[in-house]
Amino acid sequence: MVTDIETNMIEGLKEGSPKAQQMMVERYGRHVFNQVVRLLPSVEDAEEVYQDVFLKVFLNINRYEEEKSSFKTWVSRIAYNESITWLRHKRQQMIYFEDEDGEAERLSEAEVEATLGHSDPETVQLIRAALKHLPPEERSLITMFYYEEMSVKDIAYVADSPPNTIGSKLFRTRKKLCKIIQMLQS
Amino acid sequence: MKEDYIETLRQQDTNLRDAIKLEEEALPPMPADLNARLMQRMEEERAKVIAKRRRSRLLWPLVAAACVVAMIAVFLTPPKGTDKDGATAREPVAMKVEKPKPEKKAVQQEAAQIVPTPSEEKVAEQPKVKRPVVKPTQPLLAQEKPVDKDIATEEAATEPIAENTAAEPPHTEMATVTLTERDIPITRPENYKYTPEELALMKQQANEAFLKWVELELEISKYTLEKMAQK
Repeated sequence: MVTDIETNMIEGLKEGSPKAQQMMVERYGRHVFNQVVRLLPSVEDAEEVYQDVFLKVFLNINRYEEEKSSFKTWVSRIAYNESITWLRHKRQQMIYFEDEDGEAERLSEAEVEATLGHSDPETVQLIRAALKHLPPEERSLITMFYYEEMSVKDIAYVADSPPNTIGSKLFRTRKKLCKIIQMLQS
Repeated sequence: MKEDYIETLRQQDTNLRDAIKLEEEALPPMPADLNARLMQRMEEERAKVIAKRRRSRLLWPLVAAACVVAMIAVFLTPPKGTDKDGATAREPVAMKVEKPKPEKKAVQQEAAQIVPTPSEEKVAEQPKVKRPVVKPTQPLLAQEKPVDKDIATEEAATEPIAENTAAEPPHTEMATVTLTERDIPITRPENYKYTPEELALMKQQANEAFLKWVELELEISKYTLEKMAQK
């Protein structure tokens, strides 16, 4: 699960070595930044949270448990939690689509597959537009699943939720996207 | 089963995957100096931690010394109430010397009995006077009959009695005098402080009054109960 380079790096981090810290920033910086900027509304906020994430990693490196997750997943978990905490703390006014009437839930699986499955550039643009109407947590979830290709178990570890809940959330988010697309089309 | 289905979705939702890929590519680039800023901040944090450690290293010996001094002070200082220089032993003596007022006590006792006296000292030292039995000078109807001899002896006997009564000191005839304001101790500034004996007496009197009140209450309740029973 953890490579030799990672093991050495983690050892260096535990000793507080600046070289190991530099190495870690270079190795995971881009990944952490993308994860943070995906969740937060502005780049400035993302920069602030990015620094907080790495400081937290450096200070809490002794808490990392190798048998629970990979190092990258552990860092992702910290980045996710820091971003969510920041969002809750700032309480910024953001408007997202909420399926309060349960209309999205009533959509059939065939409809969802037809919208999200068959390759179509026009639909891709619509999905991109629809993604902007999803809450940050849900957007982050489907990005981790479809783009980073993380397993449901790892996503569950990052989001600190049971794997079944993550599965249900994925299904719900797909239907929600479909509903937003239908609304955008109409 | 569910996990397999989720895995198939990942491959199946091509539109969604493409859209997310495009979105990720469109994310703002990471600032070039961000890592440099992060490392600078890390240096500052490290310096802060070192300074904190140094401060704690300097502080701990001082704290330990202060604790030791406090412990020594606690152990060496005698507890309150012990005789350090004999000061506490002297205090009660001083108290005793300050307030011996026996005269007032006598006055108070009198006030409680509501038996007025001409003067405080006289009341305190008043001796018990035996009054001689004065026999009637005129014989009773039953005694009128006896002989004249008896009458003569009687007359002789009455004379020394009269003499005795005249020799009695004048203070034995107690005049009724009402208490003046100056005799009430509380109105006099010098009497504001009570002696322990006075306080004890007042306490006793208060207790007695309370007991009497309780007895009275009991009597009243007893009476009402009886009345109710009669009804």
